[in-house]
Amino acid sequence: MKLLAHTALSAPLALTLALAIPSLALSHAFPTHSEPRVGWTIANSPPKVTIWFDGELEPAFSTIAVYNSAKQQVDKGNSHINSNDATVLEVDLPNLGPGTYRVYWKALAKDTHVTEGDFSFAIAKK
Amino acid sequence: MSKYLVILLAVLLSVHFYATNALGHGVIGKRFIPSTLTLEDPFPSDEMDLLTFDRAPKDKEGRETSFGFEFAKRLTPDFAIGVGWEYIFFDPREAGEHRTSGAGNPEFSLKYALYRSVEHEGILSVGLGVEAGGVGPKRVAERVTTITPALFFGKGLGDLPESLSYLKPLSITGSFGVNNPANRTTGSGDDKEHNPTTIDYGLAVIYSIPYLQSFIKDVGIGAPFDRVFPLVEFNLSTNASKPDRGQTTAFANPGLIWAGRYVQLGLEAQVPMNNTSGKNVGVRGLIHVFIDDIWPNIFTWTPGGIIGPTPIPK
Repeated sequence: MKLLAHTALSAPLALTLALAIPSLALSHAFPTHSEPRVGWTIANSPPKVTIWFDGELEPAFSTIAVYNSAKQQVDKGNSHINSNDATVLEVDLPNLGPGTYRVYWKALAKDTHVTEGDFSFAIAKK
Repeated sequence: MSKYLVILLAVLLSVHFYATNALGHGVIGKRFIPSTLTLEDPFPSDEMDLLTFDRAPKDKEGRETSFGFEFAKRLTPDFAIGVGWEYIFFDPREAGEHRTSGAGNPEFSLKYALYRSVEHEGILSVGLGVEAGGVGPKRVAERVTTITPALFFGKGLGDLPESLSYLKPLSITGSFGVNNPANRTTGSGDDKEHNPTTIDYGLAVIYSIPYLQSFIKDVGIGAPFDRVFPLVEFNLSTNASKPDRGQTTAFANPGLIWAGRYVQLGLEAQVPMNNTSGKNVGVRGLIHVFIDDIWPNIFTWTPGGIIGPTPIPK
């Protein structure tokens, strides 16, 4: 009985530890942080919007777009995966005026699981 | 004993090599709803509770502690089957009775998603559970087979107005099931037991720190706490037939879930809400594995073809 109880505990724990080192594993990609930060008001127009994800993305089908409060797309339309880090999605911005902007992103993970989301940031008046 | 050991290892190995694939355990729209510890979650999915631990509050009969596992696999995008099993330790309250233990009855389940709304982060599912009575020894397991039709739902509050934006990370899940015993009584003489119909129902209220920081405001919570889901679950069970018709047990289960990319960990307290439910505070733990994310290339086969990953547009 004790052996079974120990096995019932140790076998799953050992397997969990094995799974916690999934070097070949793939997964949904969720954002970990961004720049500008989600929901923040910043002083100056940022040169780009960057989102860091917790997994590598498929370059061709991961997108990011930035809209102003009039729902006009304001980014430079060059959404791309960072060439040095496949977990980073970014898009360049022109010089933006004060106001609130909304970022829409869609991320296709390497295993083809899709995640998507949106957030806003604001640029303060001078 | 060795028989149970062999079965347990065989099931774990089977799961390891032959399990599943899926598109989104608990993901609907931009919402991820984790599997909770007390209530069944509403998503048909490819997942495994690698280890559940449950030390229940002490009630009038004694105190039960159990270790278990559960495995679910989708056969279509909206339909999943599952199996679960526990090893139970029971400590009788009465003096003179000895602590006992044994493998409980296996439980089998079906779950089908009737409705999903990506826009409103909602899902409604139906399920059927069967506990195979009499498989486990009667000192720890019910002798009667129980059949449980159930309803499950989940709803994220991401569609609240902007003025309530800090409530948007909340989601609510719930379940309602009727446990129907195959026989009203089992055994005879002093050994006779009544098997009531019971109604199980409950709600889970979950706050998502990832949702808060990814979609509402980055408040600066760093790893590992940026993947935490504080929650409270309420689970109730009411006898719907004699001899204790109307008697209800009720628990509040506050706790935390941490969800990584492949493994989810959870811990909850079990607080009895009335005298019938017991007196001490119990504890419940969970190690939950997203097998579809870990082995996406292995677990794609189903009788109807490959499901799960979204086809890449050509």
